[in-house]
Amino acid sequence: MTKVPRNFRLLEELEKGEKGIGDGTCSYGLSNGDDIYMSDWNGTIIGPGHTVHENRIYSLKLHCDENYPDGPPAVYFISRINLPCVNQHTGKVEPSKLNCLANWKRTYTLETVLTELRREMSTAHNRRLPQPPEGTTF
Amino acid sequence: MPDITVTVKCANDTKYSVTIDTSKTVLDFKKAIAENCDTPPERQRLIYSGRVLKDTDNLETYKIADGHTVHMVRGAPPGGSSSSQQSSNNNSSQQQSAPPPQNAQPMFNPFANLGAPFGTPPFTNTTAPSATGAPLPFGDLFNNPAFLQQLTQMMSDPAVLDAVIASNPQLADMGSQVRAAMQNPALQSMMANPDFIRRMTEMYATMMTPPTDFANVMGGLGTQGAPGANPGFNASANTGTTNTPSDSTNAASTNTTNTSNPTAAPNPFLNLFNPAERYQVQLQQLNEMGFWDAQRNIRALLACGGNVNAAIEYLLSDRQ
Repeated sequence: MTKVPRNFRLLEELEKGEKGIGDGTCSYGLSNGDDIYMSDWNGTIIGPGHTVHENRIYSLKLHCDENYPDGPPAVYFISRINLPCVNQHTGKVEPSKLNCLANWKRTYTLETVLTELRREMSTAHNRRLPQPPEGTTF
Repeated sequence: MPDITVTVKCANDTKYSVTIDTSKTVLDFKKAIAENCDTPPERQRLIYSGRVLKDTDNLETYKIADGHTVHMVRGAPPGGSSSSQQSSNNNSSQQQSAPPPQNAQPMFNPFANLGAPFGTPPFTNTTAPSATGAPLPFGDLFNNPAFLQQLTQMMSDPAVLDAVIASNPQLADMGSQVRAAMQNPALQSMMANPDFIRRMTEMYATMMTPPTDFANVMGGLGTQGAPGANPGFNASANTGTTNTPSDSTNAASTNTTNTSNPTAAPNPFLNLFNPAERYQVQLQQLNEMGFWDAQRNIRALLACGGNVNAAIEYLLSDRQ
């Protein structure tokens, strides 16, 4: 297998994000369209149904450094959320506490991270956690 | 500024193509979307490339280009909710809060209404529904997911059943049968189905028979239907009258019935044919048990005719 270089890979992801391929529960795109290094990304997660997160839209910031996709992106929540894997002071998703970040693989994408976070929201334990009011930010 | 054509994707997988000038604001865009779908602009929340679009911004701010996709999520209504938009929104707030004091009152109000079909001459006081109208005596009650959830909970609570049975001599006579019938999940899902209730009401209006008949139907259910559920019920309802009000209980019979009601008004419960809403109570139960994949849950419930236990088995066997 040939290794897809970082920029090709991110371009692919960018296109996928803009065209809205995927189930629409997670969305992502460049925060600054002129950023030729494609480092900073926005993401949103639509809270899964039948949980406390239902009908909420969570905004996130993702940063892909030069190691991406060999190394995982850094992920921050902008919208306040109460989840065990999210640092309650900074909104940072602790890599050690989210499986796909802790055991990062080259094939994982930003979408992988967002979908896994969304799945985190609907686990038996997390789906009922009391949440800060919607619209508050870290 | 050039016009672009954007695909708007909704949560339920419907798509719309909307053509708009990029110098227009997001609010204009929402209005254009509203022409295609039934979600008013103030309830639309649009997401593009990981950002929530703000009403006052121009579309060009977000660099949306031709052929791109914008996701739409239905937000909570700005004011109170209309009953037709019931589904998920007020449901979630009910779920989130649901502290005992809030629950206490609705617990007993529906209870009072519930007494009617089982007890005192049920619909003799209601004027006979006109051939077309056939309003539901309980109004929007059965449209309210919170109520449906409570109903199911109550029906599965033996203490509540005892109270219902004790409050009514007719039922007391056949206590054990009624109890068995009421705890039958098939009946429970029928009772949680507004369409079923409406048809029962219509049936009464046309028959105007003494209320004991309902008890007979119930008795029939208890004896014939308890183990295998539906066949018994369908049989007894058929002897009663017109058409069988089977819907959510038996996937197999769904196609065969439902057709022959010439008096049926434009069905106000059309959304019941959406399995996500019809099985809302069951879906919630599955979710509480940790089956969070809504698509699979719906598939399982459809395959099992709404029976939660069977659906669980289906889900577990489906899991590789």
